[in-house]
Order: sequence, then structure tokens, then C-alpha cells
Amino acid sequence: MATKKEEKLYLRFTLFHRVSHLLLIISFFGLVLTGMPLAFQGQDWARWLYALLGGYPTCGYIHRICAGMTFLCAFLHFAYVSNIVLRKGEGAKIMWGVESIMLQPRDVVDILADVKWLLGFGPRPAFDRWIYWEKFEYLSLMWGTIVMAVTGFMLWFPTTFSIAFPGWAMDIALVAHRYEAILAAAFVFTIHFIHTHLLPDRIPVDEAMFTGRVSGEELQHERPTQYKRLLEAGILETYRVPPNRTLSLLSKIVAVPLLLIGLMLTSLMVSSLILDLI
Amino acid sequence: MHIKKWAGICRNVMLWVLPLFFSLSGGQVLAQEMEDCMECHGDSTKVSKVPRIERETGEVKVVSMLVDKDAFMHSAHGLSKEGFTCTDCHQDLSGVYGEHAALLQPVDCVTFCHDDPGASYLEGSHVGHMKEKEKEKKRAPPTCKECHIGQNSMRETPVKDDPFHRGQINQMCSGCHEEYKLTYCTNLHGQLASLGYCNTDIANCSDCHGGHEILKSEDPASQVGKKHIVETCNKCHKGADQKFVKHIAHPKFKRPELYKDLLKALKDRDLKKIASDPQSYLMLIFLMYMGIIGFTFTAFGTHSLLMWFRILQDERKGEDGHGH
Ligand code: HEC
Ligand code: HEC
Ligand code: HEC
Ligand code: HEC
Ligand code: HEC
Ligand code: HEC
Ligand code: HEM
Ligand code: HEM
Repeated sequence: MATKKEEKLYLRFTLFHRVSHLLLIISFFGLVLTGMPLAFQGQDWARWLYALLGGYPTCGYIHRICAGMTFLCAFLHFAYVSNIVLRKGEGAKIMWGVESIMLQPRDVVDILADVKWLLGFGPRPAFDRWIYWEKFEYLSLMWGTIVMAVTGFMLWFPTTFSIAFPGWAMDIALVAHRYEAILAAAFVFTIHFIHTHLLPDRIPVDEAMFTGRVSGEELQHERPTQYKRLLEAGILETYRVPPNRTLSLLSKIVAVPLLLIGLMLTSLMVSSLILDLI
Repeated sequence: MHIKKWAGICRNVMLWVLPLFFSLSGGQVLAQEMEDCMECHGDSTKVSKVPRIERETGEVKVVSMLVDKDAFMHSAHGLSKEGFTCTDCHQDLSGVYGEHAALLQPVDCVTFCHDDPGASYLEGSHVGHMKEKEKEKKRAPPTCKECHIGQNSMRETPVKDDPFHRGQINQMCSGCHEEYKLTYCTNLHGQLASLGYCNTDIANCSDCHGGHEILKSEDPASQVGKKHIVETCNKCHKGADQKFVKHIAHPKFKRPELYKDLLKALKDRDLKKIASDPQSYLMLIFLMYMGIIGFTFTAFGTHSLLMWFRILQDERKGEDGHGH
């Protein structure tokens, strides 16, 4: 969606969220690119990719550094959340209510309305600040990061963990790490990409997570309930921000190649999985 | 044990006495330098590729007679301080200068030089198994040269830590133990080896099972048997203990055999066996993830597809979908 001249822009993601998300993208790509070749070791592309990124043990180091970055992201996120919850006394607002990313009773209504729309029986549902699938994505990412971190540490220090667990716990960790990684990578590279970038009304890139800005038109179209709520409360204009063309251009330059890499890797993974089964 | 010891002594005596003997008898043999052979074998106009029957296995191969001296100097024998020359191995050519007969005796690795580690292979129980099953598996036991082959020729025997040799060993073992190779490759050890990294820090088959003397894991004397397994893993995993080695070296959750065994145990109501085998837990986790992956992608996949079409439909109608 090209930004028209007189279009009004509103801030959807603060700088903190954008920087965290960028850090997450970098570390996630590093982890996937250095991890997936191991899971698909029989394939030629896996050998090629692993050698391209430095082979053993360099890829192992990259994987661990990127894991550290993921921890940093998680730490920043939890510090941010607990800061809001503890200091400002606004905890209730982000843990529960329209602004919260936690699942709400309202989401059941939203899902039903969405199914109705998808099947052609109703209008497009009027979502609020967080659409239910965005909540799923957020919560599954949180859960996934915990699983990856615990199992990843077990693979990193197998002899240390064997003080408490038998050796086969590391094998369970490996299986969980591998398939959780395949699940997460395939999910982010297909479903998350489709939801955020590849739907007909926003292809090729939704810049919201990079520039932090959404146009009023977009907001009204995608999240009419939030738009109306803010308008009626009279605080919509406090979210108003000037356009930032450099950032917008930059985000396209960064995001399009990343999207392509992700999609390519997923098609390789899926085709290898299918070829494996045959 | 006595035989080994005597064989070793004999070998040492030979190594010292033979050259002495030859040098006294005219000094000709010592003067037979590599250069004498390289005059032809280093010159592509004088030698070429010829078909050659591998006398020990009966295979016919087209082999280049060109010798890469550099590669030889980097092989186990080239690097050795003993300063091997060509005729140390091609013994039927000692004393022969210039042209020579086409068909030579195959090089004998064992008799004069390597009876020591050689016997541990040739007399081990594993070779016995191989010979028993030779007809069934249609594969003869590998010769010394097949396992210790170099990148271009059997002449270029790599040292035992050479990554190429270590990869070759994996391939040799996999030729007869396909299912164990597949399960090995579902673990990090095998995954890294399969990506082409066979350095000494990544376990290949023989790091765990041994190269020449290979025993069943139930045998206490085996490298992966009760007595030695901690020591075996400690080569790379410092601090490995009795608990650590309960690792599953060959996870079978992708192999049909496991599911057949499981069905059988279920039929026999042998729940204890199922519960005590850690392979069952691995299988459960694997199946659980297959379920989660299947469910997630059917649900969100259909959702995304439907959404895609609905948005296009709304756009064609010229609406924003909310009825405006
Ligand atoms: C006059 C050139 C010449 C010299 C000198 C020479 N060779 Fe050869 N050699 C050949 C040729 C030609 C062949 C290929 C014979 C054939 O057609 O199979 C050969 C073949 C061989 C083979 C393979 C034989 C087989 O069984 O297939 C060996 C081993 C060998 N040479 C070793 C040596 C060694 C060791 C020396 C030094 C002592 C040496 N040669 C000196 C010309 C030479
Ligand atoms: C460590 C022992 C050893 C030494 C030293 C050695 N060779 Fe060989 N060579 C072999 C073996 C083993 C083969 C494989 C064929 C066989 O089993 O006889 C071979 C084969 C060959 C062949 C046949 C082509 C091939 O690649 O199979 C040629 C030619 C040859 N050697 C030449 C030489 C020359 C020239 C030298 C000296 C520079 C030399 N060899 C030194 C062990 C040796
Ligand atoms: C199944 C493959 C295989 C076969 C067949 C085989 N070896 Fe080995 N050999 C190995 C492996 C693997 C090692 C390294 C073992 C280790 O790391 O301790 C080795 C080690 C050796 C070493 C010691 C190298 C060193 O630097 O310590 C010698 C010598 C040797 N083998 C000779 C022979 C001889 C002679 C024969 C034929 C009788 C033979 N091998 C047959 C696999 C094999
Ligand atoms: C020529 C085929 C062949 C090759 C090559 C081979 N094996 Fe075997 N191996 C056998 C046979 C046959 C048995 C007997 C058990 C069976 O029926 O599978 C066996 C048994 C074993 C056993 C169980 C020991 C026992 O006493 O039952 C182990 C462990 C083993 N092999 C490991 C290896 C390793 C490691 C290598 C590579 C260095 C290797 N094998 C190469 C054929 C082979
Ligand atoms: C990390 C060490 C390790 C590596 C690497 C390894 N194995 Fe094993 N292997 C074991 C252990 C431990 C057992 C016994 C428990 C089991 O069956 O899982 C075993 C069992 C076996 C058996 C069954 C016979 C027996 O002794 O119980 C065969 C055959 C075998 N391995 C072959 C191979 C081959 C071939 C490779 C290489 C492709 C290989 N192994 C790599 C540790 C290893
Ligand atoms: C030749 C060295 C070597 C030997 C011997 C070896 N390992 Fe490993 N092992 C490795 C390497 C390399 C890794 C991968 C480490 C990494 O990069 O994360 C690894 C990883 C592991 C892991 C964690 C990943 C997994 O596959 O679950 C376990 C558990 C493990 N080894 C167990 C064992 C046991 C048990 C033995 C003894 C039977 C053994 N290893 C022998 C080199 C070795
Ligand atoms: C967050 C903390 C993480 C840690 C500590 C961690 C650690 C590890 C370690 C130690 C390995 C063993 C292989 C090696 O040494 O390179 C590994 C393998 C792997 N990792 Fe991670 N990792 C983490 C997160 C992730 C994430 C987020 C992904 C991708 C979504 C991922 C994907 C993989 C894959 C695919 C493998 C190969 C598994 C296999 O052998 O099949 N990892 N990880
Ligand atoms: C090329 C890579 C990526 C791009 C271009 C991208 C882009 C975006 C965009 C534009 C949004 C905002 C969606 C909105 O308007 O609300 C977003 C949200 C989000 N992204 Fe990404 N993303 C990428 C990779 C990742 C990765 C690797 C992860 C984590 C593993 C991730 C996790 C999230 C999460 C949790 C959200 C918030 C939930 C949501 O709004 O859907 N993203 N991303």
C-alpha cells in the first residue's frame, strides 16, 4: 500500500518493539539457516548451505551466538512487560482487555465471525488492536522459544545435563528441538508471512513492523473496532506521526530478500520432507 | 598373544636385517630410488590408464598408472620416518630397472609389515560374521586396502585421523549395516558426518565400535560394552559418566522395525518392555510433533487460502468487506 501524500499515519509499534522485532528476525534467520541443514543432512542443498555458512564448527558458533540474541530479545521483552506491570500499575491493561495480546472471551466471537466471513456468510469481522491469529502467533512464539531454549541448552551441554537426566533425555531434546524448529520455521515463513505480507491487499511488504506506522485507511479496514474506539475516546490524533520515507524504503529493501529466502528455504524443506516419505 | 609378539619381533628383525643384507650384496637395491620409477610413472606420455583386475576381489577397474608423488608423500607411508620407496611395497620389482612386467603381485600389507594390527582384523569375530553372511549379503569382507584407500589410489593410504579415511570407514560399514547408518544419521554425530564433516572431533562408526576388533554391544569387552563405553565417550565428551552413556546411539523412531516390534509387544501385553525402552519415549515425542505439525498446517493453511480468496472477492465487488 503506497502511502499517498495527504494520508494520515498512526503509530502502531513503538521503537522498542520494532528494534526487538528486527533483532528477532536476524537471530531467527541465523538459527534457521545454521540449524536446518543438520535436520535435512541427506539433501544436497543442506550440504551446500552448511558449507556456505562456514561448515562445522563455524555454523555451530553462529547458531549459539544467534541463540544468545534470542535470549536477549526474550529478556528485553520480559523486562519491558514486567516494568509496565509493576511500576506503572497498568498491568491489567496489557494482561487483560482490548489492548492485551492475551486471549480474551472476545476472541471466540471473533473466530466465529471470521469463519462466517471466510465461508461467505457475513461481512469481514471488525477486529480490535490484536487479531486472534496474531495472539496465537505471539503465544506460540513465546512457548516455542522456551522449548527451543531448554532443549538447545541440553544439546549444548549434554554432559552437564546428564548429572540430572539419563543420556536419552538429550535424544528427546534433539527430537523436540528438531521438530519444533521445523514447525516454527515453516510457520513463520508461510503462515506469518501470508498474514502479514502476502495477502492481496498488502503484498509484497507490510511495513508496519518496520516503520511502526499504519495509515488511517488501513487501520479502518483491518481493525475498525480499534479505530472507532480510539476515535470515540478522542485520542486517535495522539497516535498521529509524520511519514518516514527513508525508513519505508529501507524496510522494503530489507524485507523483500528476507521474505524470498524464507519462502525458498520452506519450499526446499517441504519438498525434502515429501521426497523422504516417497 | 605369543604369536603376535613373535610376529612383531620377526617383523622388526626383517626391517633391519633385510636392508642390511641388500646393502651388503652390492648396494644396488638401496640405490633404487623413487626417481627410477617416477621417470615413467610421473610422465603422462609414458604411462596411461589401463584396465586392471583387482586380484583380491575380482573387480575390473580402469586405473591410471600415473603416480602423484606429492599425494604419496602426504599419505601415511610418505609421511613415515621410515622413508619408504616404491619397491618396499611393490616387492616383485626390487632389483628391476626400466621396463617391467605388466601384471605384478598385489601389494601385501600384512605379512611383512602390518601383521600387528592386521591380525586383530583378520582374526576378529566380525570377519567371521562377514564370511558367514557373505552369500546372503552378497558382499565379501572388505580388504585392508578397501578400508584404507586413498582419495585417488590405494597407494595413498591416509593416516588414521584423515577425514577422508574416517568418511570412507562410515561408507564401508554402511554398505552392510544400512539400517544402522540411517539411525546414526538421526543423531548429531551422524548428521554432522553426513554433511561431510568427518574430522576426529565427530564420532564415526569406528570411534564407538572400533576399527578392527568389533564386538557386540552386549559383550563387556566391546568398546560400547558396559566396561569401556564411558571411556569411549570420554574421548570427546569430557565428564561422561555411567548416566550419560544411556544415550540412544541408534534411534529407531523413523524405522518400520520399531513399530513392528511395538505391535508385537502390545499383542503380548508386554507393557513393561515398552515402558523400559527409551526408544518408546522418543517415538512418542516424534509422533506428537507430527500430529502438531499436521494439525497446525491444515488449520492455518486452509485459513490463509480462504482468506486470500475472500479478500480478492471483496476487492472485486469494490467493497472493503465491512459492507461499505
Ligand atoms: C619404462 C617405464 C617404467 C618404469 C621405469 C617403471 N614402470 Fe611401472 N609401469 C609402466 C607401465 C607402462 C605400466 C602399465 C603396464 C600395463 O599395461 O598394465 C606400469 C605398471 C606398473 C604397476 C601396476 C602393475 C599392475 O599390476 O597393474 C606398478 C605397481 C608399477 N608399474 C610399479 C613400478 C615401480 C615400483 C617402478 C620402479 C621400480 C616402476 N613401476 C618403474 C612403466 C614403467
Ligand atoms: C605403502 C605401500 C606402497 C608404496 C610405498 C608404493 N605403492 Fe604403489 N601401490 C600400492 C598399493 C596397495 C597399490 C594398489 C594395487 C595393489 O594392491 O597392488 C598400488 C598400486 C600402484 C600402481 C597401480 C595404479 C593404482 O593406482 O592402483 C602404480 C602404478 C604404483 N602403485 C606405483 C608406485 C610407485 C611409482 C611408487 C613409488 C613412488 C609406489 N607405487 C609406492 C602400495 C604402494
Ligand atoms: C573395516 C575397515 C578396516 C579394515 C578392513 C582394516 N582396517 Fe585398519 N583400521 C581401520 C580403522 C577404522 C582404523 C583406525 C582405528 C583407530 O582409530 O584406532 C584402522 C587402523 C589401522 C592401523 C593403525 C594406523 C595408526 O596410525 O595407528 C593399521 C596399521 C591398519 N589399520 C592396518 C590394517 C591392515 C593391515 C588391515 C588388513 C588386514 C586393515 N587395517 C584392515 C579400519 C579397517
Ligand atoms: C561385508 C559386510 C560388513 C561390513 C563392511 C561391516 N559389517 Fe559389521 N557385521 C556384518 C555381519 C554379517 C554381522 C553379523 C551380524 C548381522 O547379522 O548383522 C556384523 C556385525 C556387526 C556388529 C555386531 C557384532 C556382533 O558380534 O554381532 C557390529 C557392532 C558391527 N557389525 C559394526 C560394524 C562396523 C562399525 C563396521 C565398519 C567398520 C562394519 N560392521 C562393517 C557385516 C559387515
Ligand atoms: C556414539 C557412538 C556410536 C556410533 C557413532 C555408532 N554406534 Fe553403533 N552402536 C552404539 C551403541 C551404544 C550400540 C548398542 C545399543 C544399540 O543397539 O543402540 C550400537 C549398536 C550397533 C549395532 C548392533 C549390534 C550391537 O553391537 O548391539 C550395529 C550393527 C551398529 N551399532 C553399527 C554401527 C554403524 C554401522 C555405525 C556407523 C554408521 C555406528 N554403529 C555408529 C554406538 C554407536
Ligand atoms: C569422536 C568424538 C565423539 C565421540 C567418541 C562421541 N561423541 Fe557424542 N558428540 C560429538 C560431537 C561433535 C557432538 C555434537 C556437539 C555439538 O556440536 O553440539 C556430539 C553430541 C552428542 C550428544 C548430544 C546430541 C545428541 O545426539 O543427542 C550426545 C547425547 C552424545 N554426543 C553422546 C555420546 C555418547 C553416549 C558417546 C559414547 C558412546 C559419544 N557421544 C561419543 C562427538 C563425539
Ligand atoms: C534459543 C536457543 C537455542 C539454542 C541454545 C540452540 C542450540 C542448538 C544446539 C546446541 C544444536 C546442536 C547443533 C549444533 O551444535 O549446531 C542445535 C541444533 C539445531 N537448532 Fe538450535 N538452538 C536454539 C534455538 C533454535 C531455533 C529458534 C531454531 C529454529 C527455529 C533452531 C534450529 C535448530 C535446528 C534445525 C537444529 C538441528 C537439529 C538436528 O540435529 O536435527 N534452534 N541447536
Ligand atoms: C523476514 C522476516 C519477517 C518479517 C518481514 C516480519 C514482519 C512482521 C510484521 C510486518 C509484523 C506486524 C504485523 C502487524 O501488522 O501486526 C510482524 C509481527 C510479528 N512478527 Fe514478524 N516478520 C518476520 C519474521 C519474524 C520472525 C522470524 C518471527 C519470530 C520467530 C516473527 C514474529 C513476529 C511476531 C510474534 C509478531 C507479532 C504478532 C503479529 O502481529 O502477528 N516475525 N512481523
